[in-house]
Amino acid sequence: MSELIIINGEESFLKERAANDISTAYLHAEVIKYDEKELDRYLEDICLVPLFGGVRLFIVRNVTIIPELPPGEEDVLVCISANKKKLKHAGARRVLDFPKFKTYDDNNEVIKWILKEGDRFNIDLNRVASALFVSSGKSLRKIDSEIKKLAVLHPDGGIVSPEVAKSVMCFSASLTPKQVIDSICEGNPAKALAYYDKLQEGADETGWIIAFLQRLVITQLKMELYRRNGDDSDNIAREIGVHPFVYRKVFQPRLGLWSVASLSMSVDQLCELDISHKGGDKSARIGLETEIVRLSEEAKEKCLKLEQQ
Amino acid sequence: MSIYGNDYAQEKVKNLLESSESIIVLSGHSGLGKYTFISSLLKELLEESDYLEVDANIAGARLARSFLKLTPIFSQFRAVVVNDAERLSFPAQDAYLKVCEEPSNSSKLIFVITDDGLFQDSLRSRFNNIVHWKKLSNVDMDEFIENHEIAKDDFSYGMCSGCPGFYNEMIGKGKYSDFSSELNGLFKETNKVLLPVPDIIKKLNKESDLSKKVVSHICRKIAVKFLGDKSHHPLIYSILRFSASLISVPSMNAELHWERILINSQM
Repeated sequence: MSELIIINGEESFLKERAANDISTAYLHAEVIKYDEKELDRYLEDICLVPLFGGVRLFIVRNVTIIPELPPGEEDVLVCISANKKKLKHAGARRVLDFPKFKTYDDNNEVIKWILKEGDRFNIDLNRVASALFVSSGKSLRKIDSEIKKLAVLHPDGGIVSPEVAKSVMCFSASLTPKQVIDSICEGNPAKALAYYDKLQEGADETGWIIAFLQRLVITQLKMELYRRNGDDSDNIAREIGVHPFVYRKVFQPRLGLWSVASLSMSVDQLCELDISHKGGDKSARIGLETEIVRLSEEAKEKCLKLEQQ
Repeated sequence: MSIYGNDYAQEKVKNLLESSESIIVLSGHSGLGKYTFISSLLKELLEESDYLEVDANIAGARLARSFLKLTPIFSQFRAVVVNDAERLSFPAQDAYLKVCEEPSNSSKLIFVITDDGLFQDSLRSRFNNIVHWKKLSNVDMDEFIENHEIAKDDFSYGMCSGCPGFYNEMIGKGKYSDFSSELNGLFKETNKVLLPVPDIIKKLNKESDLSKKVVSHICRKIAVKFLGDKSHHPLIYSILRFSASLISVPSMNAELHWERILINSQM
């Protein structure tokens, strides 16, 4: 009788990794992979007698019902469920379940997973787990990729420092207007313009940068007004559509960098630039550069004042 | 396809197509059936290879120029239709100057626009045939609804301002009446910035051009209602600006520009 292993759950990265781990465990097995749409091919293949004998491992993805088991006694069938659907079979040797990780403020399962992954690679991720979550969100695939890079850089048993993590993470992403935004928030106009110029090198990305800047300015303005209204940080996070943890780490430190009047002027200016850019006016770029410098300078002054205090 | 109303304009356009006139402009409010009329008429008169519709931009102008240089293969003439010509930027309008100065006898260039005053003077001076389309009167609208066996809806009837295309788009769709209520409520609300963006605005970038025109029309109609109160003028200005931008720059992010309205009204 062939062996059946079922993998359920909503975390697709963990399900795939579990299937790969199983196929690695069956060292000498012939591994054949299918999707649910290829069930016809699977049903044909299980009827074939393997030429040289040995174990065959069939992996079928996105399954909604368990297909016919392979007849060979040494054959193994691994069924990966399609998202929420939980598969059941009385004859299953093993059933693995990877439910969606919860990210509550007081119970962030993603961060717990990051720490466990650190143990797996024998590196201490305690100091960078939060930053990894903020940078990659709930994308476990992305977090896994970052952790693998950190594991290469660190000796076994080492503690990963935030500076090393930051340097690795910035090279993993392609250049986006986010770097311009981060530089503006740091109060570094030269860095913001350097990233801006780099972005514009390949193609005209003025519209993209304007869209990012509009989002920043509108979010900042809303945060200021909600704060004036007396809303607490959890409410503000919900209103602007971010996780409370991300709000406290990323957005809250930016409160007060720009005055409400300055932000509303910026909203106006950016909307006009957006319209003129989309209307084919090349001079929108000059207006955008001016706005980047203005916002950076204002943030810089505010940061200096805070430091002096 | 039959278009209701503006019989004189329709007849005039048919006569111009039979004549040797090369440049024709159909000018009038959106939703009157100008584009539907001219495109269906030309598709009946011409073979597919002799008819082209181009976008209202420089690329469209270049395409139109090269298309009209060629002689017609099967039909009496070749025709290019430029719909929503109000979106033509100044460089794009300049690109049409040469075609309009030296038109070919076997070609026709047709512009469809909401207001021929939006053309640059240099281009407009080359037009000899501007056919104006008028909004339908209440009597004509009643006849239109009866003849087409469409239900009569008070909101759509009042809001469409004699544009049957708008009436057809709004009928049976609660999203437009909901939007109109939210817009009216905007003038009464004090803490506007913290108001949510209307659902229709959030989804507007994925909607058709006609839907954007209807939203723009609703914004204008309601904003103008509150002109009497000076305290509303900043909000009215922002809404009218939004409405105009929605037509001239349909690719703009409507949600972000709507937030600007809410912010400006508060400051």
